[in-house]
This record gives sequence, structure tokens and C-alpha cells, in this order.
Amino acid sequence: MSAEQTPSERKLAELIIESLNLEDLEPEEIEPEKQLFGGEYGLDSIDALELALAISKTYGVQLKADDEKNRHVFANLRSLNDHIESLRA
Amino acid sequence: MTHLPLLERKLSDPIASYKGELFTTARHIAQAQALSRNLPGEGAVVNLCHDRYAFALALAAALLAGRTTLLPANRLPATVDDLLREHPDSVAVSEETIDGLNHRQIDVQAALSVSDEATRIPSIPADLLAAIVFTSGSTGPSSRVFKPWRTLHDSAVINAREYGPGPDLTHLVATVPPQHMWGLETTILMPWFAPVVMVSCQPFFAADVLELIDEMPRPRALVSTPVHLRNLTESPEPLVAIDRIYSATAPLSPNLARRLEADCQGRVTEVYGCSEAGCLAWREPVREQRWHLFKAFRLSQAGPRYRVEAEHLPEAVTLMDRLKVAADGTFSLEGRDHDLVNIAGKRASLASLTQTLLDIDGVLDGIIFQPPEPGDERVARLAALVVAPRLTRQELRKALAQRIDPAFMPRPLKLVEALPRAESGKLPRQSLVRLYERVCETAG
Repeated sequence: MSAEQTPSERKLAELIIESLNLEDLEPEEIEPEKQLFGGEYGLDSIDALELALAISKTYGVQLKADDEKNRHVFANLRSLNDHIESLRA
Repeated sequence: MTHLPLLERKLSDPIASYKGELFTTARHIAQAQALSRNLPGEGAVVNLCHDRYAFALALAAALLAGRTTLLPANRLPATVDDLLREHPDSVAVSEETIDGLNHRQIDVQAALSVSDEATRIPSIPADLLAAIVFTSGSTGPSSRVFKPWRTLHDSAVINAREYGPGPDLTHLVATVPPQHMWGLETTILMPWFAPVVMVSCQPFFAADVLELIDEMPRPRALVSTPVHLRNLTESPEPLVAIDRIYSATAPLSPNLARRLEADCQGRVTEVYGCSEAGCLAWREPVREQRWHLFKAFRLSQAGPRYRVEAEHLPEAVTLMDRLKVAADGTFSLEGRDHDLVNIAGKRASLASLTQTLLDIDGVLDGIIFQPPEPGDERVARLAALVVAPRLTRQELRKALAQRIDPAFMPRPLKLVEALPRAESGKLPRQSLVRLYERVCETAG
């Protein structure tokens, strides 16, 4: 369990900042295993929707989930990145 | 004592689509009666159901038991905990057991498997306090809106008449939660009083929404918001046929409405209202920009603002928006008082958000405000300029995130040396926007 971002996590962090207008946050400030939504980054469900759209445009994958899974996938940067990678595999 | 029916549908009519199964009105009533008999104690019902059908069942059960339903402003654990602490004799109802909830709770699952059919439609006392809607999105005391059964009942009948989908049985999918007035009036009460089938899930991502709609027979309708609708049109997934699209909570641009009407081969209706008065006006943004007040309402001027009154409302409601009313009674919306903001259907006062900011240790001066609008369908977020020489941006953001709802988290959040206050101490809007634009440009 590393607190360091992998290169693909770094790329996703940049997309998060760009798509959600979080210019005052640096990509490396998004810690891979820190709660992404509802925590100190101040992101809500509308951000999740915006982010899903940006992900579909950038990675060409459609996020689809029932409530249960959705909560887990969006838990933190790492779980979201893992999910995107599994969809692209 | 006057009584009004719980619903007005034929007992044999389908009223809900729950996980692929159609429930008749008779079965819906029987399930609600079963749940009603199992409600412990005598206090209010806190309806925390995520699933739309489960929510309807819990609301009906509470009405049948003569109990008041409490609808929290959101389902954040802190909000729910506060609400339950304030109402120790209440019972929390959900379709799943909520872990860590230290309160009496009941699961609707047992009622969902009841397959009996009721033989008559029950009546509810018109004066029963059916629901209390909590509207605040920021922490601190919420404001409460009281809804007697007469108000909810009449609102539903009025809505069906003013903008309902018409006489053909329509399947209704929604992206909005039933706890919020827009979702409650359209997705729960509309099916109780108009030939509408409520579709139980609350799909989230664009692909989920489109897939669910596509599974439903036509005619079919979608209840949503500008944010969700923009998300649908921008998704790479092709749009599907939707006969009626309803939008509320923020202005819908004519461009987006046109696109939806063309690609979904349907009609887009925008509805205006507020938690206190419910839905009260409609327009079709593709064809006109002016709003039509529902016939049951009357508008009157009260100083610089307008008030709405209606037979079914407990009291007159002063609207937060500024209106410009034409001689024919139609009106346009001209913005709202600068202190009050509505983001994603949640309300807050900028003054109280700023006070929360100023209460943070190390903050010397600061303001949370609405920056100039981005001009697209994106949610317009708030911004903050803060004087806090001892704090880093990260520390500040963390402190603020603990205190305010994410919907109101200012972004950007900028540290500055001083605010451009006038000698009187006031902060002229123009100077504020100028500083804000300069800070945004220079920041990397």
C-alpha cells in the first residue's frame, strides 16, 4: 500500500483537477487512498457525474454501476483508477 | 374532519415497476398497510429509502398510521444523526439496514414481498402533518417546511393537470432523489394521482439512465435536472426516445432543451417551484422563455419581492427569486437576492457560509461568493478569497470541508493578502470580482 501515485494515477488526478475546476489543488495533493468524495477535497455526487463524463471522453470507457458498486469504485483515486484499467483491459 | 384519498388510481392499474415486476395499485396499498402495521412506537418516520418504490411504500405506510414523515436535506451521516437526535421517538425506515445508525430502524423488505391485494383505497385526514421537509444544505439549523396531507394531495392533482404526461399510461424514470420536493411531487405523488408508473431505481451515470429508459415501454418520461440532462447529451452513448422530459432546480438553456427535443423525439417541460410552495409554474423553453403560473396560484407583490398564495398552502410563500410579471400574468425570473444560493437543489446563505469561513482559526478576513457565471449548464460553484497568512491552502480546505456541505465548497479557494474593502468596511461587488479575476489569471 503506497501513498505514492503511480503514473496512471497521476494522469487521472490531472483529469480530476481539470474536469472539476479544482485549479487550486495540485495533482500530487490527491492521495491515492484518501477518500475522494465527501471528504476534505469537498467533492459531491455532481462531481462524480462530471468526472464520469470526462473519463468516458478521455479513456473511452463507460462507467456503469449500481449504487453499491458505485460507492466502492469512487472511494479513492486508486480504486477509481483500478476500475478504469479493468474496463480498458 | 375532512379526509382525502391516499391515491386516485384504479385498483387494477399498474402503479410501480419494481426490479422488473409491475405492481398494481391494489398490491401497493396492501404492502403499505403491512408496513404500516409494523411501524414501532408512535413517533415520526424518517424516510431514508434510496429506492424510489421503497420510499413510496414508507411514505404511504406513515400516512396510513397517521405519522409524520421527516425528509432530511441530504443523507450525509451527520445530517441524519442530527435529525434522529432531535426526534428520539422517531423510527428510521430504509430498504437496507444502515450500519452504525444508533437508532430504532425498520427495513421495508418484508413489506415488499407481500402479494395481497387491497380492495379499497384508504383515506387520510386532510389536516394530518404528512411531511416535514428540511431544506438546508449547509450545517447549522435547517429550515423546515410543513406539508399537511391536503397540501401534498392537492399539489399532486394540480401538477397532473398542469404538466402531467396525459391520459396514456406513462413509465416515469428519474435521476432525482424522492426526499427532495421536486422528486417527491413528480416521482411519488404524480403516480398516485395520474396514469403514471414509477420506475423504482435511481440510475446515476448516463449509461445507466439511458439503459433503464430504453427498457421501459413507451410512452415514457424522465424527471431530471439541467446538470443530469447536460451529462446525458454529452455522453458518447446515443440518446434514446423519451416522450416527456421534465427539468427543475435550475434554469435549463434553450439550446440544451432543443437538443433534447430533437434527439429524444419528445417534449421538454421546465417546472419552477420551491420547497415551501411546491411546483407552481411551467414553460417549454424551446418555444418560450416566459413562465406560466399554475391556475391554482395567485401572485402578489410584497415590497421588492413576490408572494404566492394558493388554497392548498398553509400560508403565503415569499419567493426567493426576483420576478418580472407581465400584464398577461406570465413572468420571467430575474435572478435572486445575492445572499441566497441554490446549488444542486441545496440552499444556503452566503453570509452564513462566510461566517463559517471566518470562524476557522487563522482566518483573518475572507468571503465566499458567487463568481460571474460560467454560462454553460455546469453547476455554478462558489468561490472564496481568504486572508489567512498562517494557513496553507490545504489546511484551509480541510478545515472548511469539515464544516460545510460539499455542494458549497468554494472552488477556487484563493489566498490573498487583503480584500478590497471600502472605507466603510463594505466589499463592493465590482472590486471583489476584479480581484477574483486577477487572482485566477495569475495563479498557475
